[in-house]
Amino acid sequence: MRSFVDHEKDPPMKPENEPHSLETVPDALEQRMAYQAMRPVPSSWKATILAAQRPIPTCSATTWITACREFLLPTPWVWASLLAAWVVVVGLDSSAEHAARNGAPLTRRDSGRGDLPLEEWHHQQALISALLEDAPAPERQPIAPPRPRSSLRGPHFGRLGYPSLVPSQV
Amino acid sequence: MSRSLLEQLYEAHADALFAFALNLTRADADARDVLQEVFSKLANHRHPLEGIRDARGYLLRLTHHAVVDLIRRQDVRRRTVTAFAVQPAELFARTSDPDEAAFRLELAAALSDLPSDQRAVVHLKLWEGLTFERIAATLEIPLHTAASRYRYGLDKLRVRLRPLYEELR
Repeated sequence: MRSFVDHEKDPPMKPENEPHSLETVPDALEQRMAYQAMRPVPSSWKATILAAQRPIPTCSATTWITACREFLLPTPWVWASLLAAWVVVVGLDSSAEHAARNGAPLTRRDSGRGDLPLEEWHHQQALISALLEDAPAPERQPIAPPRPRSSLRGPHFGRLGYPSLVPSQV
Repeated sequence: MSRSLLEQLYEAHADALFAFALNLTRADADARDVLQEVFSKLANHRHPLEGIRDARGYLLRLTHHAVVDLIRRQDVRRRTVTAFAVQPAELFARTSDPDEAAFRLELAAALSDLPSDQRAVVHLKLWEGLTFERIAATLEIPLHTAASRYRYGLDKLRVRLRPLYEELR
Protein backbone atom coordinates (compact mmCIF):
# COMPACT_ATOMS: atom_id res chain seq x y z
CA MET A 1 0.00 0.00 0.00
CA ARG A 2 1.43 3.35 -1.01
CA SER A 3 1.71 5.94 1.69
CA PHE A 4 0.93 9.57 1.35
CA VAL A 5 4.63 10.37 1.63
CA ASP A 6 5.50 8.05 -1.28
CA HIS A 7 2.85 9.66 -3.38
CA GLU A 8 4.35 13.03 -2.61
CA LYS A 9 7.73 11.84 -3.98
CA ASP A 10 6.33 10.85 -7.38
CA PRO A 11 7.30 13.18 -10.19
CA PRO A 12 4.49 15.25 -11.60
CA MET A 13 2.70 13.65 -14.52
CA LYS A 14 3.42 15.27 -17.87
CA PRO A 15 0.54 15.36 -20.31
CA GLU A 16 1.29 13.56 -23.58
CA ASN A 17 0.15 16.41 -25.78
CA GLU A 18 2.28 18.98 -24.02
CA PRO A 19 4.80 20.39 -26.50
CA HIS A 20 8.48 20.10 -25.72
CA SER A 21 9.91 23.16 -24.04
CA LEU A 22 12.13 23.76 -27.08
CA GLU A 23 9.19 23.83 -29.45
CA THR A 24 7.64 27.23 -30.09
CA VAL A 25 4.58 28.39 -31.92
CA PRO A 26 5.58 29.47 -35.44
CA ASP A 27 5.00 33.06 -36.37
CA ALA A 28 3.41 34.26 -39.63
CA LEU A 29 6.66 34.44 -41.59
CA GLU A 30 7.65 30.98 -40.45
CA GLN A 31 4.25 29.67 -41.46
CA ARG A 32 4.50 31.29 -44.85
CA MET A 33 7.89 29.72 -45.44
CA ALA A 34 6.55 26.31 -44.47
CA TYR A 35 3.60 26.83 -46.78
CA GLN A 36 5.81 26.99 -49.89
CA ALA A 37 5.56 23.77 -51.88
CA MET A 38 8.76 22.01 -52.71
CA ARG A 39 9.39 20.77 -56.22
CA PRO A 40 8.23 17.16 -56.58
CA VAL A 41 10.54 14.45 -57.82
CA PRO A 42 10.49 14.30 -61.63
CA SER A 43 8.16 11.55 -62.77
CA SER A 44 10.64 10.23 -65.30
CA TRP A 45 13.07 9.29 -62.56
CA LYS A 46 10.94 6.57 -61.04
CA ALA A 47 11.68 3.92 -63.64
CA THR A 48 15.41 4.65 -63.57
CA ILE A 49 15.71 4.69 -59.81
CA LEU A 50 13.66 1.56 -59.26
CA ALA A 51 15.42 -0.20 -62.13
CA ALA A 52 18.65 0.08 -60.18
CA GLN A 53 17.42 -2.72 -57.97
CA ARG A 54 20.12 -5.36 -58.05
CA PRO A 55 19.71 -9.01 -57.11
CA ILE A 56 20.51 -9.67 -53.49
CA PRO A 57 23.91 -11.32 -53.17
CA THR A 58 23.47 -14.17 -50.73
CA CYS A 59 26.01 -16.67 -49.58
CA SER A 60 24.02 -18.62 -47.06
CA ALA A 61 24.00 -22.36 -46.50
CA THR A 62 20.50 -22.67 -47.92
CA THR A 63 21.71 -21.16 -51.18
CA TRP A 64 24.42 -23.78 -51.45
CA ILE A 65 22.02 -26.58 -50.64
CA THR A 66 19.58 -25.32 -53.23
CA ALA A 67 22.30 -25.04 -55.86
CA CYS A 68 23.52 -28.58 -55.15
CA ARG A 69 19.99 -29.90 -55.29
CA GLU A 70 19.34 -28.25 -58.63
CA PHE A 71 22.58 -29.71 -59.96
CA LEU A 72 21.99 -33.26 -58.74
CA LEU A 73 18.27 -33.77 -59.06
CA PRO A 74 17.89 -33.94 -62.87
CA THR A 75 20.10 -37.10 -63.16
CA PRO A 76 20.01 -38.95 -59.84
CA TRP A 77 20.92 -42.41 -61.29
CA VAL A 78 24.01 -41.07 -62.99
CA TRP A 79 25.28 -39.55 -59.79
CA ALA A 80 24.37 -42.69 -57.82
CA SER A 81 26.27 -44.96 -60.23
CA LEU A 82 29.24 -42.60 -60.18
CA LEU A 83 29.21 -42.71 -56.40
CA ALA A 84 29.03 -46.54 -56.46
CA ALA A 85 31.98 -46.70 -58.86
CA TRP A 86 34.00 -44.50 -56.54
CA VAL A 87 33.11 -46.72 -53.61
CA VAL A 88 34.35 -49.79 -55.53
CA VAL A 89 37.59 -48.04 -56.49
CA VAL A 90 38.23 -46.93 -52.93
CA GLY A 91 37.47 -50.45 -51.67
CA LEU A 92 39.90 -52.08 -54.10
CA ASP A 93 42.56 -49.56 -53.25
CA SER A 94 42.22 -50.12 -49.54
CA SER A 95 42.27 -53.92 -49.97
CA ALA A 96 45.47 -53.67 -52.03
CA GLU A 97 47.08 -51.57 -49.34
CA HIS A 98 45.99 -54.10 -46.75
CA ALA A 99 47.54 -56.96 -48.74
CA ALA A 100 50.80 -55.04 -49.13
CA ARG A 101 50.99 -54.49 -45.41
CA ASN A 102 50.49 -58.22 -44.85
CA GLY A 103 53.53 -59.12 -47.00
CA ALA A 104 51.99 -59.90 -50.38
CA PRO A 105 54.38 -59.01 -53.20
CA LEU A 106 53.39 -56.08 -55.30
CA THR A 107 54.16 -56.11 -59.01
CA ARG A 108 56.38 -53.32 -60.02
CA ARG A 109 56.90 -52.11 -63.52
CA ASP A 110 60.48 -52.04 -64.64
CA SER A 111 60.89 -48.53 -65.83
CA GLY A 112 64.29 -49.19 -67.51
CA ARG A 113 63.06 -52.00 -69.74
CA GLY A 114 61.79 -49.69 -72.45
CA ASP A 115 65.01 -47.75 -72.70
CA LEU A 116 67.21 -48.61 -75.66
CA PRO A 117 70.92 -49.07 -74.82
CA LEU A 118 73.46 -47.32 -76.97
CA GLU A 119 75.01 -50.55 -78.26
CA GLU A 120 71.63 -51.85 -79.40
CA TRP A 121 71.03 -48.60 -81.24
CA HIS A 122 74.39 -48.86 -82.97
CA HIS A 123 73.61 -52.44 -83.98
CA GLN A 124 70.27 -51.41 -85.46
CA GLN A 125 71.92 -48.56 -87.36
CA ALA A 126 74.45 -50.98 -88.76
CA LEU A 127 71.70 -53.38 -89.82
CA ILE A 128 69.83 -50.61 -91.57
CA SER A 129 72.93 -49.40 -93.38
CA ALA A 130 73.75 -52.98 -94.36
CA LEU A 131 70.30 -53.54 -95.75
CA LEU A 132 70.48 -50.31 -97.68
CA GLU A 133 73.93 -51.03 -99.09
CA ASP A 134 73.16 -54.70 -99.59
CA ALA A 135 76.16 -55.64 -97.57
CA PRO A 136 76.48 -58.55 -95.17
CA ALA A 137 75.08 -57.69 -91.82
CA PRO A 138 77.55 -57.56 -89.01
CA GLU A 139 77.24 -60.09 -86.35
CA ARG A 140 75.29 -59.00 -83.42
CA GLN A 141 77.43 -58.47 -80.40
CA PRO A 142 76.13 -59.24 -77.02
CA ILE A 143 74.77 -56.27 -75.22
CA ALA A 144 77.14 -55.17 -72.55
CA PRO A 145 75.67 -53.88 -69.38
CA PRO A 146 75.94 -50.12 -69.09
CA ARG A 147 79.00 -48.89 -67.36
CA PRO A 148 79.04 -46.08 -64.91
CA ARG A 149 79.63 -42.67 -66.42
CA SER A 150 82.80 -42.19 -64.46
CA SER A 151 84.41 -45.07 -66.40
CA LEU A 152 83.86 -43.18 -69.65
CA ARG A 153 86.44 -40.69 -68.55
CA GLY A 154 89.62 -41.85 -70.09
CA PRO A 155 92.14 -40.91 -72.67
CA HIS A 156 89.59 -41.11 -75.54
CA PHE A 157 87.06 -38.94 -73.79
CA GLY A 158 86.98 -35.35 -72.79
CA ARG A 159 86.80 -33.92 -69.34
CA LEU A 160 83.01 -34.16 -69.28
CA GLY A 161 82.82 -37.71 -70.64
CA TYR A 162 82.09 -36.86 -74.28
CA PRO A 163 84.34 -38.22 -77.05
CA SER A 164 87.23 -35.92 -77.62
CA LEU A 165 87.78 -34.41 -81.08
CA VAL A 166 91.47 -34.08 -80.48
CA PRO A 167 93.30 -37.42 -80.87
CA SER A 168 94.88 -38.24 -77.64
CA GLN A 169 98.24 -39.83 -77.13
CA VAL A 170 97.82 -43.35 -75.96
CA MET B 1 12.70 -6.45 -50.95
CA SER B 2 9.91 -7.01 -53.43
CA ARG B 3 9.43 -4.64 -56.31
CA SER B 4 5.88 -3.74 -55.30
CA LEU B 5 6.94 -2.80 -51.76
CA LEU B 6 9.74 -0.70 -53.14
CA GLU B 7 7.30 1.11 -55.40
CA GLN B 8 5.02 1.75 -52.45
CA LEU B 9 7.90 3.28 -50.52
CA TYR B 10 8.82 5.36 -53.54
CA GLU B 11 5.29 6.69 -53.96
CA ALA B 12 5.03 7.52 -50.27
CA HIS B 13 8.43 9.10 -49.63
CA ALA B 14 10.24 9.97 -52.85
CA ASP B 15 9.00 13.56 -53.00
CA ALA B 16 10.08 14.30 -49.44
CA LEU B 17 13.45 12.62 -49.85
CA PHE B 18 14.02 14.40 -53.15
CA ALA B 19 13.18 17.80 -51.65
CA PHE B 20 15.51 17.17 -48.71
CA ALA B 21 18.33 15.99 -50.96
CA LEU B 22 17.79 18.86 -53.38
CA ASN B 23 17.78 21.43 -50.60
CA LEU B 24 21.12 20.11 -49.37
CA THR B 25 22.83 19.48 -52.69
CA ARG B 26 21.17 22.11 -54.89
CA ALA B 27 21.80 19.98 -57.97
CA ASP B 28 19.31 17.75 -59.73
CA ALA B 29 21.92 15.19 -60.67
CA ASP B 30 23.20 14.93 -57.11
CA ALA B 31 19.69 14.61 -55.71
CA ARG B 32 19.03 11.88 -58.22
CA ASP B 33 22.21 10.04 -57.23
CA VAL B 34 21.20 10.29 -53.60
CA LEU B 35 17.72 8.94 -54.28
CA GLN B 36 19.18 6.14 -56.34
CA GLU B 37 21.56 5.19 -53.56
CA VAL B 38 18.83 5.22 -50.93
CA PHE B 39 16.46 3.06 -52.94
CA SER B 40 19.26 0.77 -53.99
CA LYS B 41 20.06 0.19 -50.32
CA LEU B 42 16.41 -0.51 -49.64
CA ALA B 43 16.18 -2.91 -52.57
CA ASN B 44 19.21 -4.88 -51.45
CA HIS B 45 17.78 -5.69 -48.06
CA ARG B 46 15.15 -8.33 -47.56
CA HIS B 47 13.41 -6.46 -44.75
CA PRO B 48 14.87 -2.96 -44.66
CA LEU B 49 12.15 -1.43 -42.50
CA GLU B 50 11.79 -4.34 -40.09
CA GLY B 51 11.57 -3.07 -36.52
CA ILE B 52 11.54 0.58 -37.60
CA ARG B 53 8.60 2.59 -36.31
CA ASP B 54 9.30 5.86 -38.09
CA ALA B 55 9.84 4.94 -41.72
CA ARG B 56 9.99 8.55 -42.92
CA GLY B 57 12.56 9.46 -40.29
CA TYR B 58 14.64 6.42 -41.17
CA LEU B 59 14.53 7.24 -44.88
CA LEU B 60 15.42 10.88 -44.20
CA ARG B 61 18.39 9.68 -42.17
CA LEU B 62 19.50 7.43 -45.03
CA THR B 63 19.14 10.38 -47.38
CA HIS B 64 21.19 12.61 -45.09
CA HIS B 65 23.94 10.00 -44.90
CA ALA B 66 23.94 9.68 -48.67
CA VAL B 67 24.13 13.45 -49.07
CA VAL B 68 27.03 13.73 -46.64
CA ASP B 69 28.88 10.95 -48.45
CA LEU B 70 28.21 12.57 -51.80
CA ILE B 71 29.40 15.97 -50.65
CA ARG B 72 32.58 14.46 -49.27
CA ARG B 73 33.22 12.58 -52.50
CA GLN B 74 32.47 15.49 -54.76
CA ASP B 75 34.05 18.22 -52.70
CA VAL B 76 36.51 19.17 -55.40
CA ARG B 77 33.88 19.17 -58.11
CA ARG B 78 31.55 21.22 -55.97
CA ARG B 79 34.18 23.89 -55.53
CA THR B 80 34.58 24.02 -59.28
CA VAL B 81 30.83 24.37 -59.77
CA THR B 82 30.75 27.18 -57.22
CA ALA B 83 33.67 28.84 -58.92
CA PHE B 84 31.88 28.79 -62.26
CA ALA B 85 28.69 30.07 -60.61
CA VAL B 86 26.41 27.43 -62.06
CA GLN B 87 22.75 28.26 -61.49
CA PRO B 88 21.45 26.12 -58.62
CA ALA B 89 18.50 23.84 -59.25
CA GLU B 90 14.99 25.07 -58.59
CA LEU B 91 14.02 24.11 -55.09
CA PHE B 92 10.36 25.07 -55.05
CA ALA B 93 7.49 24.22 -57.34
CA ARG B 94 6.62 26.77 -59.96
CA THR B 95 3.62 28.98 -59.35
CA SER B 96 1.58 31.36 -61.47
CA ASP B 97 1.32 33.86 -58.62
CA PRO B 98 4.13 36.41 -59.11
CA ASP B 99 4.24 37.31 -55.41
CA GLU B 100 4.63 33.71 -54.43
CA ALA B 101 7.21 33.19 -57.14
CA ALA B 102 9.24 36.15 -55.85
CA PHE B 103 8.98 34.92 -52.29
CA ARG B 104 10.05 31.41 -53.28
CA LEU B 105 12.99 32.75 -55.23
CA GLU B 106 14.17 34.80 -52.30
CA LEU B 107 13.56 31.95 -49.87
CA ALA B 108 15.58 29.56 -52.04
CA ALA B 109 18.42 32.05 -52.19
CA ALA B 110 18.30 32.60 -48.44
CA LEU B 111 18.33 28.86 -47.82
CA SER B 112 21.33 28.40 -50.07
CA ASP B 113 23.24 30.90 -47.94
CA LEU B 114 22.68 28.84 -44.79
CA PRO B 115 25.30 26.37 -43.67
CA SER B 116 24.29 22.85 -44.62
CA ASP B 117 23.79 21.70 -41.02
CA GLN B 118 21.38 24.58 -40.32
CA ARG B 119 19.70 24.06 -43.68
CA ALA B 120 19.05 20.39 -42.88
CA VAL B 121 17.42 21.24 -39.56
CA VAL B 122 15.35 24.09 -41.06
CA HIS B 123 14.16 21.83 -43.86
CA LEU B 124 13.11 19.02 -41.53
CA LYS B 125 11.35 21.50 -39.24
CA LEU B 126 9.55 23.61 -41.83
CA TRP B 127 8.76 21.17 -44.63
CA GLU B 128 8.67 17.86 -42.80
CA GLY B 129 7.09 19.23 -39.64
CA LEU B 130 9.30 17.14 -37.40
CA THR B 131 9.80 17.87 -33.74
CA PHE B 132 13.28 18.71 -32.51
CA GLU B 133 13.42 15.30 -30.93
CA ARG B 134 12.83 13.56 -34.24
CA ILE B 135 15.16 15.95 -36.06
CA ALA B 136 17.86 15.14 -33.53
CA ALA B 137 17.27 11.43 -34.03
CA THR B 138 17.24 11.76 -37.81
CA LEU B 139 20.42 13.81 -38.07
CA GLU B 140 22.01 12.01 -35.10
CA ILE B 141 22.76 15.21 -33.20
CA PRO B 142 21.89 16.32 -29.66
CA LEU B 143 18.44 17.73 -29.09
CA HIS B 144 19.61 21.20 -28.08
CA THR B 145 21.97 21.33 -31.04
CA ALA B 146 19.02 20.73 -33.34
CA ALA B 147 17.02 23.47 -31.64
CA SER B 148 19.87 25.99 -31.69
CA ARG B 149 20.67 25.30 -35.32
CA TYR B 150 17.05 25.91 -36.18
CA ARG B 151 17.00 29.18 -34.27
CA TYR B 152 20.18 30.44 -35.92
CA GLY B 153 19.00 29.41 -39.36
CA LEU B 154 15.54 30.85 -38.91
CA ASP B 155 16.94 34.15 -37.69
CA LYS B 156 19.03 34.45 -40.85
CA LEU B 157 16.01 33.64 -43.00
CA ARG B 158 13.92 36.21 -41.15
CA VAL B 159 16.49 38.94 -41.60
CA ARG B 160 16.67 38.30 -45.32
CA LEU B 161 12.99 37.69 -46.01
CA ARG B 162 11.37 40.24 -43.68
CA PRO B 163 11.50 43.21 -46.11
CA LEU B 164 9.98 41.21 -48.96
CA TYR B 165 7.45 39.65 -46.65
CA GLU B 166 6.35 43.04 -45.36
CA GLU B 167 6.15 44.35 -48.90
CA LEU B 168 4.06 41.47 -50.19
CA ARG B 169 1.70 41.36 -47.24
